[in-house]
Amino acid sequence: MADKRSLRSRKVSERMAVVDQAERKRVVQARLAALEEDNHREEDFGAGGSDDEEFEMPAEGSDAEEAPASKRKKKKVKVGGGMRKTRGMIAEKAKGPKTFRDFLEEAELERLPEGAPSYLTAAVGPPRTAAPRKFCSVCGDMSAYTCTRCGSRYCSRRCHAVHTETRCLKFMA
Amino acid sequence: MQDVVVIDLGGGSVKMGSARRPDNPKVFPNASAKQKGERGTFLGEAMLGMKDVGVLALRRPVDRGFVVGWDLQREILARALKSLLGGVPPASCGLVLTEPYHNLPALREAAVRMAFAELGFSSVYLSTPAPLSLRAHAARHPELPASQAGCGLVVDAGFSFTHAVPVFDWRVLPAAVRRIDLGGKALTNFMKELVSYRSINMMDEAYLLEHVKEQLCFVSQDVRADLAAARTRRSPHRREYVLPDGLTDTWGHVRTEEEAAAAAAAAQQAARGGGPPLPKQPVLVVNNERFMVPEALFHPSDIGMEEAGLAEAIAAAVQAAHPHLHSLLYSNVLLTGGTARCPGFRERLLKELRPLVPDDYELNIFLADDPALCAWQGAALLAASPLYSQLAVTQKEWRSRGAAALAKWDQ
Ligand SMILES: [Zn+2]
Ligand SMILES: [Zn+2]
Repeated sequence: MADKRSLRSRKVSERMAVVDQAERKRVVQARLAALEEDNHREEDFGAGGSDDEEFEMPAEGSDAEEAPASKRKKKKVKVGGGMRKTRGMIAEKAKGPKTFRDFLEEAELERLPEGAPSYLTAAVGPPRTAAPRKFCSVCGDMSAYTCTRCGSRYCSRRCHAVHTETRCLKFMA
Repeated sequence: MQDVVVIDLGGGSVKMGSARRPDNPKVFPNASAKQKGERGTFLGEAMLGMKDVGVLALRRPVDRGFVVGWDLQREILARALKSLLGGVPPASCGLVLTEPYHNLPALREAAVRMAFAELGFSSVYLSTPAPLSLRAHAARHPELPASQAGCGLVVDAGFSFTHAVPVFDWRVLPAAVRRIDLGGKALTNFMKELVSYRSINMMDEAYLLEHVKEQLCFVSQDVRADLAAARTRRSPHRREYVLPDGLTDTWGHVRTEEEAAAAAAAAQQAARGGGPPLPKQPVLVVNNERFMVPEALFHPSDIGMEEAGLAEAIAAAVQAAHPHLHSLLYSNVLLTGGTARCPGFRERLLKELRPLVPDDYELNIFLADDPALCAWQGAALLAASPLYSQLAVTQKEWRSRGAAALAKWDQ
């Protein structure tokens, strides 16, 4: 166990000791996108001959981590009714139903006259109050420290240990 | 007079009923669910009868507050309408249907097409929820000057996002609406993420977690103090949620003190060597998550969102309205939407908003009697009034004039 762990940390530190700002931002964005998803792992439900093919589609906005799983799944798309599906049809299915983002793009709201109220003008924008509050990424309490490798917050030696063990740079691995 | 069906089409749930029976709308999930390993799906209203709510695959017609899955949406509504109307054909009924703020023209037309071509109503009126909620509120508080002017700032804390919506003369002031991209769904998923990391893996249990959230979350009045209390050995915020047993307890429940005491006594007994070993009942332990989850709506930056919180959103919405309306809007802030039911919501908002409002303005914040049903109730009032026939577009007008017939809703 201990061996495994040190091997892992060695591997990680070889690759990249510190995660840069852009990467940290990407991780935050991926996490926020996950908050809008309905199912954590839809592929769990695809197996066993579903009677509803749309359940076999990858979740929209599923992040890179899930890409291998959805590739596997694409191969599983059923060929129904004795009719072979063309690759185009499978591609369309795999893309899943149209999302709000698709409709928003098609609406071309940015071409509305300057100042016309729309979905875009309603966005509340950034907060005026200064620095965001800091909470421990492990226990949720107020936190005074930042992990030097990944930028996550922690409040105590204990939480830092848990963080290192369970989460730190795991999104990279 | 013809009956009018009223549907508040939320991202999380559908509220549906007849204007003739304004006291008992149906409320059911706007989704279809499939249990792991099972073939059958539960569609909308049928989800209410599910005996096992764990590990579901959900499909929702609504994405980020807008209906995009029209086939699924039509199926969910058609099924529920059948049981609502019995043998009455929709063609003898009108329809009031809610739509999102700043709806996209293509999606509004899709809604009207569904109402006429697929559901078969004879006329339809689409409205955003805020002015409807304000009607229900004004009916209860006719003495307010703002009620007489059809004016108020409606906070719509819904499933998909949260809006601050200034209304005057029963109309939304579109340029002044402000949106935070955080709603009940994101809060549920946030809670799911926290408890899965800290207590039990619930990543596939969003539907159940929504219920747990509604039972246990509250809005803190002092985050530092509550966090300090939660840190102590005997945290006053700590609760145990007994997860569903798959037999009698469909949704699970918050563990009572008696249950905890009984379990502790039995454990002692077992430790002393007497009595049988305890049956293990899985419990979800929550502590500071109870208030740190709703906290995100007041400070989205806590979870890394670069968006202003609710108090600032309201102030920005009022600021964007005509200066003559500012004092009237602040005198009548109405809290609606499922998330507004969270205990402490109003008190906390008052605390955060007051400093942002000029001292000489009166600030009144009302929590709707039934925040999740408020828009439906207002829509039912409108549907039963002569206003309906003025605002509705008939099937005939739609067929002859198309999208142009809908333009009157924007005036
Ligand atoms: Zn901590
Ligand atoms: Zn780290």
